Amino acid sequence: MEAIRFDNVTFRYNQTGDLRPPEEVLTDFGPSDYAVRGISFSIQKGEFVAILGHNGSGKSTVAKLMNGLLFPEKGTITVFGMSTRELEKLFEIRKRVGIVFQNPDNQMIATIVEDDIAFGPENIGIEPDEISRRVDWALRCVGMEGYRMASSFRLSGGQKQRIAIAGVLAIQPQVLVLDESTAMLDPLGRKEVLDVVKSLNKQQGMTVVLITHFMEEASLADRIIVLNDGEKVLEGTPRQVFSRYDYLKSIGLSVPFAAKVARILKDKGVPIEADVLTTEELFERICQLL
Amino acid sequence: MSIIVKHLSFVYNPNTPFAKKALNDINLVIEDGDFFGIIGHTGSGKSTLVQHFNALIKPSRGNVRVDGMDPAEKGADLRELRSNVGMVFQYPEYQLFAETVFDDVAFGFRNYYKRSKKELKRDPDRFKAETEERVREAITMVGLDYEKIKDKSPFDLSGGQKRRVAIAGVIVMRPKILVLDEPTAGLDPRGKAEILRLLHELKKNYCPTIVMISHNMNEIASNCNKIAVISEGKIICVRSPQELFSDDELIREKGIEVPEAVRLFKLLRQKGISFDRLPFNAEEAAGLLFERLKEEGKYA
Repeated sequence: MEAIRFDNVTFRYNQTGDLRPPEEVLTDFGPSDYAVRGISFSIQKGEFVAILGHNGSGKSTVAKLMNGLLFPEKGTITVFGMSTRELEKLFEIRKRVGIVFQNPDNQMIATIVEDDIAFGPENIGIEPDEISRRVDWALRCVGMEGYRMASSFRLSGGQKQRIAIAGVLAIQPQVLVLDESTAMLDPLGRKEVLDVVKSLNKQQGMTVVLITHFMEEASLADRIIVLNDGEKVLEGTPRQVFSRYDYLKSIGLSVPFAAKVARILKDKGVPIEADVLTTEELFERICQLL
Repeated sequence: MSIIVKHLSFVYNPNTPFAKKALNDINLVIEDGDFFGIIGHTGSGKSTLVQHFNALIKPSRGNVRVDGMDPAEKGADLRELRSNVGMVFQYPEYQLFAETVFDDVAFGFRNYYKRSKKELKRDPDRFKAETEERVREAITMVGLDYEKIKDKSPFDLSGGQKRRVAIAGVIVMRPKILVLDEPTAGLDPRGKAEILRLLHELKKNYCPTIVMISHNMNEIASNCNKIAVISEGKIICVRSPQELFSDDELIREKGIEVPEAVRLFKLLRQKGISFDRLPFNAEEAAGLLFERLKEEGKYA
């Protein structure tokens, strides 16, 4: 089943604050003013997709288009068969696609963890008993059962981000979009959040869209979509995408450590395949050589 | 210019029920010419420590001497100190506010001299010329094209450019020590590499001492000559990258993440393939491995 579909989607921010419809101000802009240009892709239910791209390549715009925080100028976006243009469906779309942003402090609204997680379900009119059940469930999902009554401002970065994820989970979305949600965390916090995301995807079949600058994180995904200057330029499994080292470098990206080492050795004439993703895999291959 | 920290302790909200000891008896020497790394988990006291370096906060106990001067002493020239120790906070681009890049970069300098140099006030043309010279220098220093960028809005720039402009706004004070809190967080790989290259460039030509807080161990190990490990408000040790990442026991005990290159070489060592030094990035790792393959007479 298809969870999210982008058909030839184009979008630009109205930089001048001009209130005229986009058709009329068209002449004021050049093609580079588009944040997103002619993007098409499809994400299946239960899939784990990573989106890569340099700063300003359109990644966050794509995230906001996914649940109707922004609307495409051209093209259509369908979420479980519903177009984000149909205003009466918007509420339902936003319930199905939850976004976790970069800074958890911007997403947390209450001083007690429980209240913070209950905020979403309260707003969509869930019964109190059910809210309580959902708060328990959401906390369990992110491994923070003991923190129900904790003060949210006393938590560490990784814990806060897990609470932010729990807050989104409590609405029981079918797609979880993480927009650079690990960028501000230390290595431990990042690992905590990624473990939660992986288990949600594997155990509960949650569809995950992970937007990131960390190549190692992207290699956990089933599929990677690469954006450059608002366009989709590559799509494939991590192995396929990360075998394109020179191209990725030319658009400001990189490849995981293991792939880079293998690539440098290969260029020097060492018979090693460069399609490795993890350090363990690289280790195996080097052992065979030495 | 050196920083000497002696028996420094700091308590947030002292004498209240919320009192929290953030730093506990810190002793530290940062020498002229160091590229000094500070690592530690979130909440370990890294940021609290560096805020003492230009007297944004003052010690609850102990002292900090910057170039021999103790900012907590009466009559200390804090303005002088703050222009000598430049502080670049996390996500400094969030602090950009002016309409043009020029005004944003000039902000610190203008305010510094507005209050200090009456003669400049009396001679506004000279002040203007000097401001322009400083801003041009700072913007050029961070690798941006002064003429092209000076009249742009800082909000129209890319993420990496914004961060450079924010750093220029600190550089404009001509600091002798530059302190940066997570300077590459949130940037794409190219942006990260560019900022690190910039820091080395600044260090070489301009500002000899750099202090960097980072969670990115690849970055810390590849760029710093000394690394301080902070845990729960205490300095655990100050080591060179080679010493630090060779100390398996310390790494395990303190839960320090190691660079991927180090992880790879530790796996190899367990297999009996050992090297006399550790690599800290892909280039170094590949170099060492290639040397070994050549020595063994394989694939040369």
